[in-house]
Amino acid sequence: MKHTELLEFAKLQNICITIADKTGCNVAIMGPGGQIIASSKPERIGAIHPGAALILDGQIDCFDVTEEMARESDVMLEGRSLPLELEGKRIGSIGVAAPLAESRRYSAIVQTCVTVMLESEFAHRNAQTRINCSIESSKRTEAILRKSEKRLREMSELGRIGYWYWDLASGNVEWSDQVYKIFQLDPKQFIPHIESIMALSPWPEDRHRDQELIQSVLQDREPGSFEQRFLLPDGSTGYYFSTCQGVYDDQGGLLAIEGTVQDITEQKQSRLALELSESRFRDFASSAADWFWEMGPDLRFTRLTGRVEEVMGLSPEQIIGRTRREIYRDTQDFDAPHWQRHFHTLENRLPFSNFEVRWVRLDGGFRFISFSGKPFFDAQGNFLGYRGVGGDITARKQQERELVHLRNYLVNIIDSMPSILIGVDNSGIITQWNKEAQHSTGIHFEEALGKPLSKVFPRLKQELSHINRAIRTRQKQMDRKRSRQEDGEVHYEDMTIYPLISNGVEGAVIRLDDVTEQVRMQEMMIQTEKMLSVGGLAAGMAHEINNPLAGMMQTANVLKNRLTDTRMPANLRAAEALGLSMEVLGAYLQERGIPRMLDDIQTSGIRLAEIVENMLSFARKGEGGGSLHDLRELIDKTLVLATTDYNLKKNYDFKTIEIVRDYAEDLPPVPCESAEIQQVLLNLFRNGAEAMQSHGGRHHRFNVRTRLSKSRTMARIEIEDNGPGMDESVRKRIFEPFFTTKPVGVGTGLGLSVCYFIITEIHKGEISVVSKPGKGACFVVSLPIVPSGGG
Amino acid sequence: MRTILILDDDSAVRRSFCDFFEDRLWAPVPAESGEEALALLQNVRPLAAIVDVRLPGIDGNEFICQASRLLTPLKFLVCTGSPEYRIPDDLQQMPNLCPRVFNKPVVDLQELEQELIRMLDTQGICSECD
Repeated sequence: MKHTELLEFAKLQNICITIADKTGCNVAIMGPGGQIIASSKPERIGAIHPGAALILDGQIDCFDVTEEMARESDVMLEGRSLPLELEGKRIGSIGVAAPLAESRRYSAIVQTCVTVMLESEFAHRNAQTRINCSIESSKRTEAILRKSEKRLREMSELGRIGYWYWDLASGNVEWSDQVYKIFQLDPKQFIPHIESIMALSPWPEDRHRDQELIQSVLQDREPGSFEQRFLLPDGSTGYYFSTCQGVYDDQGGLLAIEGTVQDITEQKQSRLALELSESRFRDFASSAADWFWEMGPDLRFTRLTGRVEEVMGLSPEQIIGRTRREIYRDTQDFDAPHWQRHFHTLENRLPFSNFEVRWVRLDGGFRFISFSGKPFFDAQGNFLGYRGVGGDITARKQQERELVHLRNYLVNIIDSMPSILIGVDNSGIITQWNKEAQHSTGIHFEEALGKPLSKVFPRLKQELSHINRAIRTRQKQMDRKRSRQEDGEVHYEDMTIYPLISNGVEGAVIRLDDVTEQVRMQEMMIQTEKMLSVGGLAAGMAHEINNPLAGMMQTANVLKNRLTDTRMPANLRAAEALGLSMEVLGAYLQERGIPRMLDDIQTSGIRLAEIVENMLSFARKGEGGGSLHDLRELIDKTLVLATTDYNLKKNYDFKTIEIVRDYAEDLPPVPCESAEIQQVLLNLFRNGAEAMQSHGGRHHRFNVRTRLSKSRTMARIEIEDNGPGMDESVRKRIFEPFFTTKPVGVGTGLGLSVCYFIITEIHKGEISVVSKPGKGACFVVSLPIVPSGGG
Repeated sequence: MRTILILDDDSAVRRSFCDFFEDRLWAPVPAESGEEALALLQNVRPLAAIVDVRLPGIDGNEFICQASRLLTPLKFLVCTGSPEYRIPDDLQQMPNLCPRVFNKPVVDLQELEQELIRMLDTQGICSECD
């Protein structure tokens, strides 16, 4: 406590007034700073006494105020001030106002009185404080005790630790509250006794163990511990852990056993669960892998368990302590990309899975092995090595290889098909796309896969309903000779949709076959058949047509002679007899266009005769052979014929066409019907000339070549013009009967088909044309040198 | 005048031949059938005969066979409406038969006449009998 606290106002004021009453001197008591705190003149309280201030400041020990000084000060009165000290410390001052002589005596008395009072007060107060202190500390100790007890209780509750005490003499057991809680028993109903407690663990084997344990504690006088199962009221099993030790009397006799009990049900359950999961994991791992391995940070094997020796042909002892580089026989493998990638993975301390290697055993056999591993680290993150599993995948690998082989084989089959084969699932998504499909659409397998059929192959868009029907009814759907336009040409294809019916895979395979050529050939065959039947008919009819035609034409011939021949004697005689002037008649006939009409009859007759002749060509069956002819001669003869033919009929000068001959020297004579071959050649020259003529006024030229085929079995005639050529669609159909590019009425469309017939059917040769628009056309006629059919 | 036998069952054709040869200063003798022609040959002696093949009764070939057996040195030229006609083997070697067969319609009758004259000339018959 502070000493200044002793300056209690009431007491001090009492002193001041009492002394003033008895002495007639005014008395004042000043506190810190010289402030008046008590005074017989109360109005002065609170004022600062400058003299007292000096005293309290320690500057002086006595301050006298003279009469003169008092007159000048508001506060100070004439008199003396003296200090008040307690335990050597100056805590205040007293002042006695009186004439100086008197105040010197009184002030000392007042100083002593007040000092004594303060000292006694101080002593009393100190004593009081000490008592208070001791009471307080004992209270504090109690609180700490309570607190620690509470903490202990909480701890025991939190840790579920109970205390028990088993009095051996009585068999009675004392339990702390927590023990009841652990066993979930009501303290009011359960009386803990060694027998009743034993009943909580009804398993005989446990009880037996308990007894042994207690016996050992009793005998060895050593503290022990045990774990025990117990039955909870709800029938479930709990677990507790108990410590125990003996309690002995002064003579060392055993009085009791005490101990703690702790509920470990949760720990036990989680441990059991862990054990279960561990054993499961062990089972899984051992069934998934053949062996376990571990490597140190230097990637040397440190541990191997399992079937490693059986598979690798090396015992764990041969492997442990070595790196893979040291045990692998074929170390060249390590340069292979997959090993390099693997090493890279290891350097980066990354896990890897299913790294497959081919392991050559010492016995020369080999195995495919799959490794998986993970790096492991200590708590500080330092790399400790790798561990993982290894497995023999040889059988699987071989199966895979067979599978791949089989798949390639099937893909090959599918790709070798000349048909477009497209697999779709039931929603029309493409699952298979063979090479022909790629070729035909230009869309690659990867691009097509997984896309809707309608997008990738739009022309099958309308077929989705057919596909669905095929899948639904499980019956194949066919659509033959579907026609479509492509590049301005009609193409034909057969479509078959096969439903996939195995393994519950829903879907279908669409097969498209381009049958354009077959359809054309078929049409051509049909036409040829028609021609043959027409030919047969024509053969029968030709006589019947030719006779009346002869009647017409020959009569027209005579008619012309008789009308226009001015030198014929019979004409002259008849005219003279009738008095008819031949000149006048001639003029008349000219005037009326009679010669032209007669010519028209002639021309039409010739055309009709030609048609009959052409039709008759179809009636001829190939006889093979014929007499031997030099093709060069035939060509030259035909060219002469063509020249006159053109001069005569087409008003076209064949002579303006340049003929470039290139005849092979080694060409033997060819067995053929010369007239027919000439007919063919004439036809080709005619067509070429007409084509060049239609093309316009360029320098026209025929390149005529003869060649012997490489096999020396065929003689070839090539007739090449520099006319307009033809596009592919025309080229393909040019030999079809009745196919013509000429305006209606100009050609019959029979010419080239007759050529085709003569060459292929009659002579068993070949005829073809090579042409491109603007590049002219080259007709190639090949005739067998050795007649076919053994003739 | 040179006499020529025209054997054809088609009247228009037969007449056109007759008219033509008449104009060319021949004396044509028409016959509708082989039998009729053979009968005619009993009385007339033509230099040549234009022979159709398909005829009622005996055909042209048969007529040529029989007619060539007569003493008359007759030349034969076949003119037929049957395009497939080929001179039969037994007639092939006959010198009096023109190897060239004319098909009906004969576009150029003069050509046919030329062929006849050529054939007659080679054996001097033409000048002999003219």
